[in-house]
Amino acid sequence: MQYDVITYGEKALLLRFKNEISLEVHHQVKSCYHYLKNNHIKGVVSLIPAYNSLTVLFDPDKIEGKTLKVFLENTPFQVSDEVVQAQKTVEIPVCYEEAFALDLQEVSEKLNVSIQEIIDIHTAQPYLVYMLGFAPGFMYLGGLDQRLHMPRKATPRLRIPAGAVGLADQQTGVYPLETPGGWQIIGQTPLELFSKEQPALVAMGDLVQFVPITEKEFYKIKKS
Amino acid sequence: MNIEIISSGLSATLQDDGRMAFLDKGIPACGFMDANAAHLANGLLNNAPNTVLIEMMLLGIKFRTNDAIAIAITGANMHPKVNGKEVAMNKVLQIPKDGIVSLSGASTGMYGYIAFAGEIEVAPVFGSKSTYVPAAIGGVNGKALEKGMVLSISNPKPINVHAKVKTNTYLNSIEVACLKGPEWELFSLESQTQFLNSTYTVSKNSNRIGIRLEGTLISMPVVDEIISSGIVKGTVQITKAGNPIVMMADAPTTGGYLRMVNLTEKAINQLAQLPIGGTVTFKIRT
Repeated sequence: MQYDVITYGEKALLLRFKNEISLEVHHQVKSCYHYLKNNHIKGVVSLIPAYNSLTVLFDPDKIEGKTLKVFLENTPFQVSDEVVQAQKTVEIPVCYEEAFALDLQEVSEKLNVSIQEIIDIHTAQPYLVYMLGFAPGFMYLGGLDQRLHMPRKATPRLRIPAGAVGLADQQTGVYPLETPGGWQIIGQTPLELFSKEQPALVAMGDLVQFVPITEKEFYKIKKS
Repeated sequence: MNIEIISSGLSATLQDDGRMAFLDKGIPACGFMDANAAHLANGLLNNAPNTVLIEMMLLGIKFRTNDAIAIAITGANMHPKVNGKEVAMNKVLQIPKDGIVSLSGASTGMYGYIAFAGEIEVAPVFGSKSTYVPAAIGGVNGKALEKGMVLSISNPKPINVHAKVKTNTYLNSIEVACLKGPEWELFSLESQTQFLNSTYTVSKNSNRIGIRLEGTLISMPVVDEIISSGIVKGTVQITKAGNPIVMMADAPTTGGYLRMVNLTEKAINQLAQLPIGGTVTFKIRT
């Protein structure tokens, strides 16, 4: 496994992998992340796995940065089938009906793909959660079909509702909280991706399968 | 015992050392902007450093106590008064029953802290009591303090020592120490020199998420962003336009701008207290 361990301020080290977004690198990051999470290294207080990096935050009162660096450089991290297969598939119901699909008509016209086809393509296969970040519970999903690659809106919306499902270039994702944003909104999930009781529905490395639902079903799930 | 908020200041929130355990779920760390001043306040009262307290931005709060309690005020100088009479900062203050504690605008510094000899009773969320307003978690129902809110303080303890610490001086012009950041090497030698030779001014668009700096735009390399990666407090990112932003307590857990330098822990606390319009220069510590 190829990575560098570099200084990242006084309380963190950064494991930097190959400069690309790929399944191979994802599995390497995931392997290191799982290893450090499961082995409770003294002084390591938090981890931020990303596409091709792993930030390791530590408490300098408990472990010296130098010591941790040597440890990280010399730990024989390995990508195992166990780690690769450690993933759950989470179904996320999405209502693509007009009331929630603010930009679906426009996306359909621009991409020259019918609304039904967009829904079919968007729900055809599960997406890999490469990482979480940007906002509480926000998933960076990989594997969006090329036919749905759509640029962001020229002017971001000031308010996008929590649960909105959108497209932006090669990405698709769900807004966990009401925020401003520039994604093209094609639907909305009634699920809470983030709540006080549960920090996120999914973990890095999981799969997300969008499942189309009707407006009626949306409100039924929302109520329960 | 409890305290009642009479006036809420600009943005006063409950904070502790922060929420470290769920960065991998995208939940920001939050916590004290100036950990040094906050720990000082807790230390004066023999509280654990991580004890939740009130952090005030720029403008102080006013509150009433329904019983006697010892408190300590540190950080930005917001000219505290007890029952209308000026009191000292950075020492233990005995507030009488039905006391009114009032603070005003900061004459030096940005963030003021009030610690209590006891525990402010709020429930931890994901291991921390720090308020994170955007997701409405921590503190009092995830909100900044508001007029009329009542905070219960459990296990108030008598503090008999007259502990006092040296007063911090906050200047309007500082030099801070930093370490080379993960993308330092991506910048040309000219850009690096440009950054280190420039004086930056704190923008009014600064907050708990980040301190935006105005000044010389850094000449950007051709590759002006990275594949999204982890962000830690004190990271100085350079936007595509060439503006530095120092990521602070409420910063998102990941980002894609180039990370030029990282402030030292001491520098993070210093910069947190630099007021809007204050100036900063950076010096690489090797």
